[in-house]
Amino acid sequence: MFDRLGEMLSLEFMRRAFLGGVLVGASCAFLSVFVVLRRLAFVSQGVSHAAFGGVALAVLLGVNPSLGALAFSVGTALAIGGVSRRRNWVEDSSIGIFLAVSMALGLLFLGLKRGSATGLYGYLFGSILSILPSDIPWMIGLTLLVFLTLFIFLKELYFYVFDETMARVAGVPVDGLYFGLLLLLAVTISLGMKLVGAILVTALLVIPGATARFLTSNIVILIPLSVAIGVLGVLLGLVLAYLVNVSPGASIVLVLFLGFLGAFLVSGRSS
Amino acid sequence: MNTSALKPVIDVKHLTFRRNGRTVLHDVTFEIEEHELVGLIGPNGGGKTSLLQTLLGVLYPYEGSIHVLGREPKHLNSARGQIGYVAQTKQFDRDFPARAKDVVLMGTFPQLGIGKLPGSKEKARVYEALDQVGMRDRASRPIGRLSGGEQQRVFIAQALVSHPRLLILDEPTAGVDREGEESLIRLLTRLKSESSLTILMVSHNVSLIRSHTDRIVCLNRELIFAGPASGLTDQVIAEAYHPHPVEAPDV
Repeated sequence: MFDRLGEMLSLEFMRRAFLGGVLVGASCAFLSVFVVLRRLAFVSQGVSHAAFGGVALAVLLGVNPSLGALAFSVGTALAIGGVSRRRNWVEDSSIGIFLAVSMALGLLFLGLKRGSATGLYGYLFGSILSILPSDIPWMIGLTLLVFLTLFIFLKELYFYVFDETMARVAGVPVDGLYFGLLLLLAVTISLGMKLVGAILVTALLVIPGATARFLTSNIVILIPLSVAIGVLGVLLGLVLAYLVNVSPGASIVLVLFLGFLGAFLVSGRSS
Repeated sequence: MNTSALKPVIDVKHLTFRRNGRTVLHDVTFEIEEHELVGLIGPNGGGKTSLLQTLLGVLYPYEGSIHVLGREPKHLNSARGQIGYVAQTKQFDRDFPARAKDVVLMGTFPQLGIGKLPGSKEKARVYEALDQVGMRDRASRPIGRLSGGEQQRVFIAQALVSHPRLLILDEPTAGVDREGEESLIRLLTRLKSESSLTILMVSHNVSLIRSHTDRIVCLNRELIFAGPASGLTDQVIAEAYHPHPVEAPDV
């Protein structure tokens, strides 16, 4: 077993997968605290799937698919937020609409594209094992962006997700925080999905925060606990995938889910 | 000379407020002086919450002027710490990861500025505010596990933590049992007597307001009464709680 672990760490692509996974996992897990507390899980699901339309358009136009994903993710997040705020809707309805439209556009663009578009499917399912050395600086940049932004606005975000009305009256810029959170979510999803896929990136944006919530009611512990759960889930999932020879994305999601299940059972027993 | 002592804490002149083309408040004028405990009463839909929201700068007047602590509400940002507000409905999730002391600490955030985290000074002020409302022993309890009356005290502590000059409460006794209601009003009376705090509170409990406040403002889409609590007669109450004469113009 130790031989196999040593062998795994000697492989360049595995070392990059660990580094990339830890960076994306930590960023998503930090954001997941606010995704869970502000109930934005469905927004992250909607934005990640909406990026499909952007990737398909970029493939059709022959430009970098990441740019298409970023443009569609940001556009969809702002559209969801704008419609929800202006019309005082809950986000669910606008997500359902924009997600479907973006997926429809994706299929339309795919139909217009002649020849193979196999690269596109990598964005839906991702491949953490095919992280390139040139991807690492982007992932470090993303991690810095997420951590710095969330740290700078930490107390305002905490007040905002606790009670928006009270925060607004107290002078907290709640609209700016809401759209800032959506933008951060969109950028994280569009950069993260190329590396780990749309499905894994949404799992990382929800499960660590939800698991940590079962284990503590102290926000000072909640954030580092969520980050630790995200990072640990990625590491254990990758090791398991290598040892059992299964898909790393699926393995990471299932490890995170087992952690969630364990926390759910433990919290149920203690309460 | 202290000029602020000469000015009313709240000065409302000929305020008219409209929402969706309907007149919610019409030509309302009253003043609230420093160090008063004032009750704001009136029937449902009489414009009490709208008035509070215009005082706080959340809604804007259609006509007339408002000055709170000598400023127009839209310029209140610089005076945020001087106004404490306790909302009528608390929208928080009962399972939210926050203890009573975390909720009170949130009241210090706007004064700290962006990027700065609360330090020992702010934490000391949290315990001082919890002491004021008699909740120090429950400081580490999750907010969702406190009773309605206890939660209300925590929210009052949150409003008090920035040492405000004016405390505005929108139906603080809603959802609180009779004993809790009495206890809460005694707390407000004590807070007023122990400091130079001015308190404006909305309530549906007319008898409670009559017996515990210095002055009363009574609204039913227009000002029905503004004066000492002793001046609020049954006739005035009957007039206030009758259907309102101001017609809502179609726009």
